[in-house]
Amino acid sequence: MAERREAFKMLFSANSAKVETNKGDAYYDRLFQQCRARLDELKASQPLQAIDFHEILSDEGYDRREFMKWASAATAMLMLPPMFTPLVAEAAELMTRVPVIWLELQDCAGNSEALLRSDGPKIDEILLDIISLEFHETLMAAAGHQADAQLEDAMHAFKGKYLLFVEGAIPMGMEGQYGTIGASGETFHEHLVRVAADAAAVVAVGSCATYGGIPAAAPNPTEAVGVMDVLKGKPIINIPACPANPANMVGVILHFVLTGQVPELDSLLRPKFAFGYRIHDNCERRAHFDAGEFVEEWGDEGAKNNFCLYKMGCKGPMTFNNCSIVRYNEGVNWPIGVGRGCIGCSEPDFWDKYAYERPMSDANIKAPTGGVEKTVDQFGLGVLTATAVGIGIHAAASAVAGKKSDEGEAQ
Amino acid sequence: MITHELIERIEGEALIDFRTDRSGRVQDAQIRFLHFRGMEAILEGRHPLDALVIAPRVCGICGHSHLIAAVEAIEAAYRHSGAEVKLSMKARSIRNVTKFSELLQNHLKWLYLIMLGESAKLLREEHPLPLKALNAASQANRLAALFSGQWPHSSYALPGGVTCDPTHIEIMQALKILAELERFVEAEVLGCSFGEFETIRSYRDLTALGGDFGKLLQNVERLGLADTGHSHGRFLVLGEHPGCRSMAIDGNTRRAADVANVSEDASAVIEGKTYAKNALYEGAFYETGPLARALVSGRSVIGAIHEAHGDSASVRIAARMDEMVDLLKNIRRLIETLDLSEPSYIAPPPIETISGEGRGIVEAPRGSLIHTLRIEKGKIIAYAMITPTQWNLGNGTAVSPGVAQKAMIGAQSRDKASFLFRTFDVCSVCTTH
Ligand code: SF4
Ligand code: SF4
Repeated sequence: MAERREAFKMLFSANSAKVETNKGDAYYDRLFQQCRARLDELKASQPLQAIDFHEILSDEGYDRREFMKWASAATAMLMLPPMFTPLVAEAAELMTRVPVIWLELQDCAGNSEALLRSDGPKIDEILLDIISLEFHETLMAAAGHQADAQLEDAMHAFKGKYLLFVEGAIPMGMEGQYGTIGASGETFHEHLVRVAADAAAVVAVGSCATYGGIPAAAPNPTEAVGVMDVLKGKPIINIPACPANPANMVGVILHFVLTGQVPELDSLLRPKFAFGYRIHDNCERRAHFDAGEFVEEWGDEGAKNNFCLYKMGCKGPMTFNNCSIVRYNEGVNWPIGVGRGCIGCSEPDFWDKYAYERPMSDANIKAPTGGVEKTVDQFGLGVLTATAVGIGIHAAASAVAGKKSDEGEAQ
Repeated sequence: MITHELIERIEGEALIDFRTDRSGRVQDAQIRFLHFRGMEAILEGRHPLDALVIAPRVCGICGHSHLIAAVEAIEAAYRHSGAEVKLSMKARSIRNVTKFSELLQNHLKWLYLIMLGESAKLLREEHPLPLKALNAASQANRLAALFSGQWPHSSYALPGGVTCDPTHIEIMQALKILAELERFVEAEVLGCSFGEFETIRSYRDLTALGGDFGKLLQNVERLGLADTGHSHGRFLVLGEHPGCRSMAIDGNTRRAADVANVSEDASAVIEGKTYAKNALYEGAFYETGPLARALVSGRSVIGAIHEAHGDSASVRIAARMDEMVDLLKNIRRLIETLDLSEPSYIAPPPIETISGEGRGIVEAPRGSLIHTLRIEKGKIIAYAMITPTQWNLGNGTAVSPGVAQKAMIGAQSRDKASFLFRTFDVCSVCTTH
């Protein structure tokens, strides 16, 4: 756990190809004032639940020192300089004052499952337990008509203030009849539009809610789409991946509590703090990639020695996400850790492009986003030569990647 | 009177149309699942190994069971086409460890997030969401992730084995997590040691247990539901499970089950009713899941209380809890006997050369899960799934009701019927796929 916190800090204080981690003193001073004002305003508001956060923490065996360590790691994760640590700690204490409504649409409930156990320091888990989840089908006590009423109440009471988390895609085929909700038979689309109308911001969680996900896989039988395809005029934050990493869900809420705003987003509306760099940039097997050492066949000597999985179809070089650092299930592991390679589940269309198990060289697919190329430039020509020798196809893919990525940036 | 009632929480949403008499007693209940994704159509036409990425995503809580069903279906297709595919003991055991961990976390969540909460609600008592239970379920997920990379939605199994190659360090880590889980189940769930639990033979002793399982049984008793919720008394296990062989039980007769007798009935699908097909064995509704598995494997405490109380709500609950103990025992055995020197993966011939049919059957948390596929030269031509909940939550008629339907008929109120429904561990996500 401690190492991971350190890893976070190192990562966010390092120069990165994609994310600007230092925006200058003037910027941070302004932001600091803004956060201060926001927190004071929240403090003056009524808590939504009578909860003593510090009592819960100490019941769970955390002292103040432990909590501040967590806050400093969380600050790093949000890509803020250390001076924000006390503010992040305060924001955590005020998390109960931001109401959250969670909708499940055409989904597998995988993100709710992921939410049930937050990754990282266990304090995240406690935070998730005490955030004011005003409506969540999985977690809340009410059901049926009672639940309908509870949703109405929450929407009304927190008009314009609640964060709306959406899990699952929206089926548009057959006039939305592939997914209806409640006894009234409202379609998912109608339901989403209605509940989103008074939300402060909408957070699409998981690849289904962001880009349509598995239900949208060819031939897309139900004409599934993502939240941003049907909602207009609302701030939308996408947290893709299948399932989304709970650390990033906590990060988004924390950022909202702290600043009252959505975090800085990339062109696909993903928070840069989580999706500003690629799996490949921080992969534990990266040294083998650079040395041209690859697993050539499942179960071979290379596999036993944890060589790079690129030739086995790893999509790490094309995938923007922080799982190489955050990992999964309280940091115990991640797909590359078991020799499986990344399937690019946080990228659009991964189900049709990347789910493909074979190496990209066989797949006749062009790498779409920010390329190996770009980072390779930063690492210098030596590395480029090593990898190009290692895998011929790789250089060709990167050239395309570089181009596409620039287009993506310009959007 | 006819009323609609929504049932939510893990997993997703079901709608029940109740027909009640003037006193509110349930005369009939039609179960509806209103979501659909078309997973089978999505799988058709793809490369077979893509099923290992797509299939787990049918369900966020049983993803692993779907992965294993998919990989076993592909392996069966290899054999069907005359090609050899070998699996080391080690790979087999690792697949089982991750699968059993998934069952375990499911049962923990069912007990704490659904049953204790719902029973408390009916009794008008407080039931705070217990952090300790979330933590325990997370430990079971960590155990799975240690070998499979992540939970939910891992894809680490391949025809011929698994990609992971655990070292002694992972084994030590796994044993440490396992010990924590064992401690939790003894101290919190049962309120007694496994040794003491094994000596129990009567229903009375189970309800007297000091842990949360005992508390649930006491709640069920206080609600007057302990000896209600009887269904057809027909049970089915189709997949392999410790102590289990594929078997159908009907009253006092037991015979080997043959998957060829399984059929699906789509008569209620769409038509504005439901997206869930019925799954039938020899044309009849059979219950699958922990109670079926306990009876087939002959686990003594469940056998004894089933003998005395039949397939009642409390026996169904007891079977799921008893299975937790059984799973922990089996996970320990598998980890302790893992031979790390064996290969994790033995390469089969290239899948592009394979044309054949295959079926993978897995005993998932809620019952028998079946994936059937046909491959032609490295392409999926047809893919069909029968999910565990289709067996238990299918709709019949008033004369011949489905498993959960039958259990609800006669309940004193809709609330109580909904509770009985939940003893089957409802899941709309995989039911509809
Ligand atoms: S993004 Fe993945 S985990 Fe999430 S709902 Fe879709 S398939 Fe499930
Ligand atoms: S290609 Fe994959 S395994 Fe190799 S270094 Fe990159 S992310 Fe890691």
